[in-house]
Amino acid sequence: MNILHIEGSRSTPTVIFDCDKNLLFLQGQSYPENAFKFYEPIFQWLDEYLEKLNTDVLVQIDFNLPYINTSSSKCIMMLLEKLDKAHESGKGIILNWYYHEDNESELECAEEFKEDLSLPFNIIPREDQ
Amino acid sequence: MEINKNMFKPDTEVKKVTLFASFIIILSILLVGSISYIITEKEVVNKLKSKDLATIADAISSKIDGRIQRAQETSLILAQDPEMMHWVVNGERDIVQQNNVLQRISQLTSGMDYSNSFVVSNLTGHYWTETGQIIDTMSPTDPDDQWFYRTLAAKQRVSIDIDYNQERKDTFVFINAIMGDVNKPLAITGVGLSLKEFSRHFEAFKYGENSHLWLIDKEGNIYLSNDLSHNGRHVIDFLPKEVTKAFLATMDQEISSNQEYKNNQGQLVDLISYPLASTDWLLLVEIPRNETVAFLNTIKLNTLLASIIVLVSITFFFIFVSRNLTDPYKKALQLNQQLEEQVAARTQELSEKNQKLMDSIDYAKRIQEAILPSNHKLNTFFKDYFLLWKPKDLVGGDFYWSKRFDKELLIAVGDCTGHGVPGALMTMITISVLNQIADEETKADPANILQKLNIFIKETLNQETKEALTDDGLDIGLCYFNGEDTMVFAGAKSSLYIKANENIQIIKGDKKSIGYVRTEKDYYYTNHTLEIKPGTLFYLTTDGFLDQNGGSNANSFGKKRFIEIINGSYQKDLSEQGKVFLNELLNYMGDESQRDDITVMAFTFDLFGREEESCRYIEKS
Repeated sequence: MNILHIEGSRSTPTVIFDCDKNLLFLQGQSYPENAFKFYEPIFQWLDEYLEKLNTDVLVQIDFNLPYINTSSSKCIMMLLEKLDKAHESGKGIILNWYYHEDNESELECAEEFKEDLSLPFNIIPREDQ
Repeated sequence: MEINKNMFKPDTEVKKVTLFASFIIILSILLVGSISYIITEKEVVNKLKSKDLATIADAISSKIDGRIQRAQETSLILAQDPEMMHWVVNGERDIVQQNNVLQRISQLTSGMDYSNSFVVSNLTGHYWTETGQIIDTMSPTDPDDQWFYRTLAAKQRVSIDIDYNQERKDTFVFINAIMGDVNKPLAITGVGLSLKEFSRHFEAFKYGENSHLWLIDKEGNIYLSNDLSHNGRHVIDFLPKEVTKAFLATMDQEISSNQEYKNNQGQLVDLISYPLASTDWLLLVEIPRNETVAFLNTIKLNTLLASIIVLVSITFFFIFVSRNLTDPYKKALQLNQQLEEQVAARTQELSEKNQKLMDSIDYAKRIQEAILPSNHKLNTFFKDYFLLWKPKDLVGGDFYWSKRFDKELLIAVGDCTGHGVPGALMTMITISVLNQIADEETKADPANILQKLNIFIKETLNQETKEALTDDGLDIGLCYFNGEDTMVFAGAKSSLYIKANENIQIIKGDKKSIGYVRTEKDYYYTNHTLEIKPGTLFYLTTDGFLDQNGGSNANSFGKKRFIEIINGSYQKDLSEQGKVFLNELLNYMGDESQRDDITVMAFTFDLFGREEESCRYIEKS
């Protein structure tokens, strides 16, 4: 399995899902014209990765998404649900959601996501943006 | 196309190179021609000086030398003739001997090519000539007879005496031989030669029309010339003084020398001097340079002609080659033009297609605007209001909706998934569903309307199960106004901002959007009932305004700034506030492009049911 690396653009986040280090990294604004098209390969990779994942491994997920449009937020939710499911099945998953303190909509967004999930979900403010 | 035209203009660089190369070729050919001509001329002059003139001088001098040597032998034979000796010793008295002697002398002139022959007795002083007569008797006092005494005094067996005869315009060379012991000479015999006969040879050796041959002595007197009129004159009459001085000064060296100078006609001439072996004479040859190199004019002309021919052919060849060399470049340009044309055609095609699409969308915009409440309608609903409706594209997923029931009113601002055409399609569904659901029964229960809307959308888009192909829906804030003093609000991921005097109140709608797969079919929305006072302002917005990025960090506009605008401008008329909202947004955006559809609607009610129209601020794009 290869590392999933998608270079970020103005409207799409940078994706670095490292299966060797078990670090999933997602950073940037997300408002592509067609969100499902953008997230589809990420879902596929994640499905395969979670399938093979051993229960003794701890996966760290770092999200930093200053803006997610409606359709992207659906995709992020789908992504988080996959992780939640894996967590429920006993796999070690920890999610760090970074937000900028000045941008309260980011925090709200994170909190909304957190409400529906049971996996360890840390909402962490960061100033250096 | 402007660039294209420029590309096909004659290339000035190529022209420059061609011109420069032509110049170089012309220069080099002229240079080669000139140099070869100069070298040839130099070689020719060199050959003339070192070989040709020397050969001429050598030929002339050997002829003269040979002739004089022969004459010396003849003189000696004459001087050693025993009979003549007897005759002289006997005082010229023996008639028989005299006859024999005079016959012998006479034979030399008649039978051989001598001009004179003579015998002069030292005893009697008689000068006997070939005619058999005594023409003179030597006298030491006679200046004409000095040669006789000079010869005797010289005590040389054979000697040469040269005499120029002014009357005959001829030089005679007398070859004198002493008879008997040189210390006791009996007589002097000899022969005389005219040098005139050499004139013929001189003519033959003459190099050109204006060349001269002179035979001169050490003083520069001319003894012989190709031109008879020169005989007896001095070279100084024909040559520049300095030149004469120069060669007279080097005469003793007995080597040939040459020099060049300009004669009195301004012509460049070469002068060569060549010493004769048998005499102290010097042969002078003067040849104008242009005659020596006359044939070079033909060479010059031919060289020039050849140069021109070579030049012309090379120039043509060069042009031909350079054209051929630049041909790939031209081909590339042509190919480029073809491509440009193809691109232009494609662009045209695309532009037409785009135009069709735009026309189509433009028409869609008209439809979308038609289903949105008109300004006139909104004017009748509110005491005051403003509306910002700015889709990201021509059409969008944001919408506002209203439905009036006598004095009651439903008013909504919504945001369907996405923007552009798909968003617009969603608004069409939503508005038509809303129009169906909202009726006399449901009007006062916005939460119920939202619940029904959720079900309808899910059913319409077949999004009732998690396996649905699409997952689209909308956020919406819906207000019910009873026409008197009560407002009921229900929201699906949408908030209502209420500004009454100093206070601002934000009523958050429910957290689930409408229609999406994640929102359950039986999801209940919440009604928020409010009592409203006169002057209360209501603000509904979609996330487009709040999420618009801008500022120094490209962060979202955010609720905080939104509330600040309300707090900062609530005392103004809503139409004025609309301008503030728009300006704040535009200032914040800066150079960033609009990220999503934007809708903000603010309104206030006339609590006494007034319906008169007033000027409203409406911003639509």
